[in-house]
Amino acid sequence: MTESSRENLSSLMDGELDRKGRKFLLRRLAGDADMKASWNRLHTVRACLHQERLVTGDLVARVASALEDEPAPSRSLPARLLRPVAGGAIAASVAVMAIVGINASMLEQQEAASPASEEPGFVSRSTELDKPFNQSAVPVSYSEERRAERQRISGYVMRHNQAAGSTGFVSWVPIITDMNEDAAPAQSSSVEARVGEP
Amino acid sequence: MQALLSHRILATLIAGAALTALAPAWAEDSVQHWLDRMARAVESLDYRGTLVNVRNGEVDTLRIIHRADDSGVRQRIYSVDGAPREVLRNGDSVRCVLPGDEPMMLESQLAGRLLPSLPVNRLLGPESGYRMSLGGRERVADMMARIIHIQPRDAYRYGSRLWLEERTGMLLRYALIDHDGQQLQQLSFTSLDLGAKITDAELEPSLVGNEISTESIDESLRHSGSVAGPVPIRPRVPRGFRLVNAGKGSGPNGTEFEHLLYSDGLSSFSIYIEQAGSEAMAARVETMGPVHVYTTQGGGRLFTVVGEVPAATVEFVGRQLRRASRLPSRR
Repeated sequence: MTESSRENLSSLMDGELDRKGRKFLLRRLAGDADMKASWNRLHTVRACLHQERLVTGDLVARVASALEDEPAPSRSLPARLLRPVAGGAIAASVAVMAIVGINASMLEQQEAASPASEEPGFVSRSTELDKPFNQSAVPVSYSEERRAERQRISGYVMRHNQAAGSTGFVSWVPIITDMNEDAAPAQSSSVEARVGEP
Repeated sequence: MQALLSHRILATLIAGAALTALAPAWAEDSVQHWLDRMARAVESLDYRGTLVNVRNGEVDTLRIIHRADDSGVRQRIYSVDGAPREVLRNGDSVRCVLPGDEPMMLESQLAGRLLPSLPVNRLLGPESGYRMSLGGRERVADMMARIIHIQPRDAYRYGSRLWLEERTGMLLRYALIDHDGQQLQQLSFTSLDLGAKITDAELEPSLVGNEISTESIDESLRHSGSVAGPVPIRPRVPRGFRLVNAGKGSGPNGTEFEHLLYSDGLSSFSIYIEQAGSEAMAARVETMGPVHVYTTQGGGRLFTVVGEVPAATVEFVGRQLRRASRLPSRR
């Protein structure tokens, strides 16, 4: 593989290619085993750099947090700020990354469909790309686990607030305001679980 | 004579220089005074008010009821719009009712606070992580307020702007800002009845009869200042943060954890250490408004870093923990 193809792959991974370049490279990638292997290697390297071993749940959130890792912490946007962006620009590149492992024919469908509607499907599907760091499938009791996790984290936040006792009511506001939003994904995940049942 | 004169000039110059140097100290002195007043007012006054929280273009309206008397502090904060949510504080115990298809209630008990209310004296030194200044006056919720500016000196902590009621020091408006001066959140009273007479009924939870799962955490941390005991791990942390307390507790299903509390005097984060489960888990950051949570595994332990600090801070600490837990202890 030439140096320029390698550079192109790296730009694709960083989301620096334009739409046309991306499409072209993805077509090549789909047919070229050598190139595909280096693409996977690049991802493994990146995953190692970010100390990831396995994909859990929300791919978009993971990508958003990985993006936060990139620059030195001179400008730290909260992950939440990135979420709307993740819905658009980032999701597009995430979707593009996820496609490669499947096949080229899906590429056409993806290009036509909106990234937002395609995203959950790709997140829950284990693709060839996931293999290097995905060691186990998402368990059936996903919502149960999420619930336990939420409970664990909320408990820790509460205890931290009590211990630090910062400005009285101010520190309790995030718990109230954010639980409203967090209820939505928890509900949708349990809905998905029900759909999957016979 | 000549010598005497030049001495006098020199003395005047030195006195002048000293005065100039003291001027910011005076300003900071009064900032400290205002912050102390605020901490007292927020805890010890009785009040009933409506709060509006704006973050990311989203608006939440909350009601707050606060009473402090001989029997201790009781506080109830509940949402007025969206799913019903509620936080109840009764002395050392905090209960939190969370929505969802199966609402749950969390309870946390801790004997007292672990940080002195606002050790601002340490904040105002040259090594402080913040620049503080007294701002102008503004009217908030029909009351005159003094503005306090607190700017972080690096990206590892948040700053804020505080609008404090002139007579009592009560916090009327709060803006959370990052290192770049960008406003991340604003919390403001739209109406506030200071010195209101609060009845017991007002402090009763409205969300009862839900499915309840309780979490009991009752072992308190060791008393502040006695951190000399063995601490399970001492990661490198961003400049200015110090370990201020350490202790143990237990979670919902009896899982025991260690709790380390770090503070720079204004911002704080906690590290929780517990036995890791059998499954491998990726390191990740979660966001609850300005609160960031980093979860990671290493050396058979699960680390959770929690705090109202930028994601960069919890990530920094989380990575250090991960690294430290992998390396064999050098000492």
